[in-house]
Amino acid sequence: MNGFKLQRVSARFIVFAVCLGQWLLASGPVTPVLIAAEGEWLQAEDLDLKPIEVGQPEQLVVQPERIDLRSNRLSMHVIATGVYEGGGVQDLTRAASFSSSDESVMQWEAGEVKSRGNGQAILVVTVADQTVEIPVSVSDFEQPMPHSFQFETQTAVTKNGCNSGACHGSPSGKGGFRLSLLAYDAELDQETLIREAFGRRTNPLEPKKSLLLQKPTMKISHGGGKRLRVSDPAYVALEGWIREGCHVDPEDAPRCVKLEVLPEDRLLRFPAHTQQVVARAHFSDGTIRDVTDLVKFSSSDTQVASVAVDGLVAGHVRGQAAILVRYLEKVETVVFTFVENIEGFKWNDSPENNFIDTFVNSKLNQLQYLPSGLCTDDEFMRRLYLDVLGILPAIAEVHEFLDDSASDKRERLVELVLERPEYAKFWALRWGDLLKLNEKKVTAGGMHKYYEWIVRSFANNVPFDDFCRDLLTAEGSTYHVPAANFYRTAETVNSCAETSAQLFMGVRIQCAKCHNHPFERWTQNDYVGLTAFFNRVNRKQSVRTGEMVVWTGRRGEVSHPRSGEPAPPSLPLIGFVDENDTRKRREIFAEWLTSDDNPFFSKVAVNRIWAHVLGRGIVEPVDDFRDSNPPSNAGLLEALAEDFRKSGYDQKHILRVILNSHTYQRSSQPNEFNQDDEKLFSHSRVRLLGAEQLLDAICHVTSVPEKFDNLPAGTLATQLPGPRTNHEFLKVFGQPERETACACERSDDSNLSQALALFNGPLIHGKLKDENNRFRQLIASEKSNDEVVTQLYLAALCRLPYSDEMKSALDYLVKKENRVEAMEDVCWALLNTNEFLFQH
Amino acid sequence: MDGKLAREVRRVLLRTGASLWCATICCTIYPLVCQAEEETKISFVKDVAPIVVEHCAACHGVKASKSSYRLDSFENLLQAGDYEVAPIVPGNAEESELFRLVSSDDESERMPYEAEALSEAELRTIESWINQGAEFDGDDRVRALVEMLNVQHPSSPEKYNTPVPITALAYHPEKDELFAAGYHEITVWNPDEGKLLRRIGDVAERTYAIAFHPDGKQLAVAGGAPGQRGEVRLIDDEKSSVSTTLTACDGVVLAIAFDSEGKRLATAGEDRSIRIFDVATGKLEQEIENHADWVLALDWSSDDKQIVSTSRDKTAKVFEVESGNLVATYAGHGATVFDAVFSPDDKHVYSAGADDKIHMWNVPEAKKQKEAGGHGQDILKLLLIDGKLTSASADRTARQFDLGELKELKVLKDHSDWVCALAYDARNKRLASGCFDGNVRTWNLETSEPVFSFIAVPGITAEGETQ
Repeated sequence: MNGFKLQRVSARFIVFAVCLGQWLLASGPVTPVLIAAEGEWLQAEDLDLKPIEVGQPEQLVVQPERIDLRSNRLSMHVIATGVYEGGGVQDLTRAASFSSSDESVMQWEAGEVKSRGNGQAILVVTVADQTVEIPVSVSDFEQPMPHSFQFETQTAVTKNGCNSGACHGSPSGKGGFRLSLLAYDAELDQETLIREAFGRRTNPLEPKKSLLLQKPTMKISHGGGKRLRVSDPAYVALEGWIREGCHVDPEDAPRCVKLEVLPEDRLLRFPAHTQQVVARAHFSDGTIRDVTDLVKFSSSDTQVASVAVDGLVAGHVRGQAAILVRYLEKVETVVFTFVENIEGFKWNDSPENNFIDTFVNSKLNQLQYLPSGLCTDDEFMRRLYLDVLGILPAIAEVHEFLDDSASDKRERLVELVLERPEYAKFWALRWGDLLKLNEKKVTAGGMHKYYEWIVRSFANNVPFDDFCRDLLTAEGSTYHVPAANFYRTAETVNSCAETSAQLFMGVRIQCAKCHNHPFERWTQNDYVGLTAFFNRVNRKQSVRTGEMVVWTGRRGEVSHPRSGEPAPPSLPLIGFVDENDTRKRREIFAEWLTSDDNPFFSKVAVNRIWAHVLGRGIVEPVDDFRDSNPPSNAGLLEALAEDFRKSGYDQKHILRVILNSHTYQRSSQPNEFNQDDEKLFSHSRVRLLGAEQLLDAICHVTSVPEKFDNLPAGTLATQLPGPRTNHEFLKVFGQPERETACACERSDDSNLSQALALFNGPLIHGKLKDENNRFRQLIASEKSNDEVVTQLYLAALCRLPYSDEMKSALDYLVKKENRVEAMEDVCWALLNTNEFLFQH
Repeated sequence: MDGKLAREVRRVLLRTGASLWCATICCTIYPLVCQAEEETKISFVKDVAPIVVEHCAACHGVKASKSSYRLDSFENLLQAGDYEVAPIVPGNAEESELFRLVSSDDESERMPYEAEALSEAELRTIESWINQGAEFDGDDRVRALVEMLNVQHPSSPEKYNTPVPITALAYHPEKDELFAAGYHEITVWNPDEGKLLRRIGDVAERTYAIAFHPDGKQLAVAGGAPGQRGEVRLIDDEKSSVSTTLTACDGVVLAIAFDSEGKRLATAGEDRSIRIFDVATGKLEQEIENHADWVLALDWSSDDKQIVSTSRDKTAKVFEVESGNLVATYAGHGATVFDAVFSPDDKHVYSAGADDKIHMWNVPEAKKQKEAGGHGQDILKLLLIDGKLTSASADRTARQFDLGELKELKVLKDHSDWVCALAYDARNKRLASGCFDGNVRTWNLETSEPVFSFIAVPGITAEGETQ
């Protein structure tokens, strides 16, 4: 171990910063059209497909197992999966041969079973020496099946991106043509497509001349470019609907009740890396229609896998990707895991301290990443203190720990740290961020009381479900019942619903306020139903300044923004609440939220705790749980959530389990087999200290406390009840204003101001020049250079300086005339090292 | 040969008229040979302009000029765009950038961009035209190409398989005939029996306005192909055929109006400009480019000095015809304004819009005087009839209001769909209302009773089936 460590750390930082920059560019609002166009328009022929190596499958599985076609317009895709010795699977659809036992009934054509006449037939599927027979039945062949507006026209304009947010689905449309975003409003779309401007967009007498078809195929100039080809299924659907007279669906038309996607979640081992995905819509009349050609496919991680417009998925590198399938408002996901045999990989039997390590290692082994070894004791101590307490350990504590030779010293340190009062205060800081605890919103008095309430909850280790219920159902004076401030920071029903959803369900439901959620299954109805729980919360200023009273009314309904009708409260995934339930609505919501079988609550809570101490959530971002953003280790998340529930939502317990795991204690040094891993916890993440942590650390190293207005002397930055509006240093390093409940509000961007603040900012300068700072006092009490430098290193890095570090410091100190000034420089240099600034 | 045979042969040849035979052969062969040497002369206006208008003008025209290159007039066609390469080198198609791009094998640069390539015949036409000297055989090098095209419209289906919206209606001023908008035609009906009397073809795909000339002998029809081209044609009533194309432009024409004597015709539509033509000569007398979006309606003041226009840009405006100056702008609807009419004394305008209301405002102050609600949805048409204001709406009713107070006087209900068109028969005091579903209903305005209703679509019976 030597100075190279610093280089590694700074290299990591640069990589981190570059990746961050790339992430920001890719996911920011800057180029949505570019990315959307690329992903949606991907044709199967653009994928770099290698021929399938069939090998010797033990078994052939064909899905679906039976086919029922009730019209001459219906067809069905079929997929063939080979099952191999050892359980591995491969998609053999492209390599299989298909034939029909009776071509007058059905024929196999271009990947589909197509109906030809009423009757029964068998589809024979053969690969290698395996054969499977699928019964096919065709009926109602002569019965006309009118093109459906909802299920064909609307899906066609969704599939080809016409109604995406960047184009005609935007609130003002494009070129005077406005569709509802992703077809959430059938009535609006009907009016626009059929009637607007006297039906200019469709031509039932000469369908091919309709503007709706000529523009996207570029027969007439189209600002959106070529979005449709004459051979596309969407074109065929649209033309058919126009030709039939542009009719609206009859009232009794069958509704889609379920979207089924085949296959289910799948693991593919290279060279097997492609999979045809098939989507089937189940209708209320019992029919099942193949809608693969009209659903919208997208991939959650195009670096790992891409999906073509016809549903062919191709994996590129090992990892996990969720393929999202959308059919109007029905959204389903298939999770693909791609594994690859990495040359030279051999599992190193990394120790498993508890179930966390079992799950983490199993995933690492599966995807062939090698976990790093344990971090050093000094790294562990520094990391632990910063993660749990937000501060650096005192030098005496460092000596004690480093000198301890007991084998269970790390476990004991964890126990010690969890009992320290700083724990409650630091985690109250984190929750203060989420609960928007700032003076502007809750007044100075309210801020202190709210903060103290949160601190007490953590100090007393109040079970997390109680904590949440207390917040959600609080009522009374904000002075006597500080939890009632929750409703002061969420002033409207929309704000209450959005905050609750984001904090406790990990769902960013904001998008669904105006239309169905573009990435998820949340509809506008879900949103409105959620707001209805908070409608009867009332707030009233009391006679005392700064005090507000929160109380519950007994009447009042929210109205649905589109229909104007009163909207009763409805729970996500469950539905409307029983009318006869006389409890207060908030209580009903809080009880559902914190119940053991709520699918969100415990997962979101443990994920946040995990993210705080490991630097990245199992689901990331931590408040963005959705099917299209799968956890990097679903088994781990489930196990943690289960443990959390069983413990009675005991946060200290979960922390203890995490902190004692090998995973938490891994070194940040990657090895050859895990340097690409960002998500699977094979090694520790290097992170810049948070604003408050950094300020406290600098104060600690220099022994010069920071004075904050209106707070007792000795208050640490990590124990501020609310953000300071005027503290330059804290702002520069990302302290949030606490305007939103989003975890993203605390910025972890690096920027030039930060570098400048550290190089020659007033804060650093002031601490270094302070008459009573650490090294001045030590020099005054006649300690040698060696001793002073050692103290500084112990304070800053929790370790003794290495011999070469000591040598360069001493050499420097001797050369300069003014010893104190020279020591300033040494301290300054130490404060500017990455090893100090970063947690590693 | 011996002498006897030779003499025989000579006689045969002479008898069959060898020279005549040769002459015949020569006469048939020679012209063919001549034709092979002489190439057909390509006309820019007849052969090249239609190709340019159909495939190029949309991206290289007034609304969009990609790479700053425009193909909407001959003069512009010759000017290089951003790439600064001469588009046409007369006499040398190979060196002409325009030809190089349309015939390129490289799909990433081939014109028309991201669309199907020009056909072989179209490419030959352009090539030949350039090689022949790239001459212009029109009358005005700066005139818009689209105006120069004399389009022959296809014939309409004998029987329509589905109804079309009745987007325009007009009664003949002297006969019992009702003219309705059809698909590439104007259909003429007996309004009391719903019988189809005649069909006038060679008209654009959709017709949005029909206006009779005050002399009763000709009518103007306005329409076009949505998103592509618009035109106004004059029809000779007696001959039942199109006599001339008054104007052609880039977007459909949505409104036309003759002045009180029929000397001038005002037109406006998708391309946002209001144009006023001299009917007899076809000359463009005034062009007003003011509205920010489609112009949907026009009306002359009774003294022919002013014109009011309404637009999708949510305003109604009054202009002075002679100077083209803007006299008043009314934005009180806050939504698309569908129609407007001057009051009989020209001091007020009644306008109707997507805010479901009729506003009465004064000219030139444009201050609202009165407002009428009543209609539950967009009001699509207004008509001044016998001192009363008549309106047609998407709420499936037509209504009448008094001009002074805008009080609702009567409601004509139970239309089967949106009411899109109105026409008034002054001789018999009848109102005709046309609907989005193809239905036309006639009303006795004195009794407010419906007189007859039929589907004004050739080949469709009342039950909606094709006969």
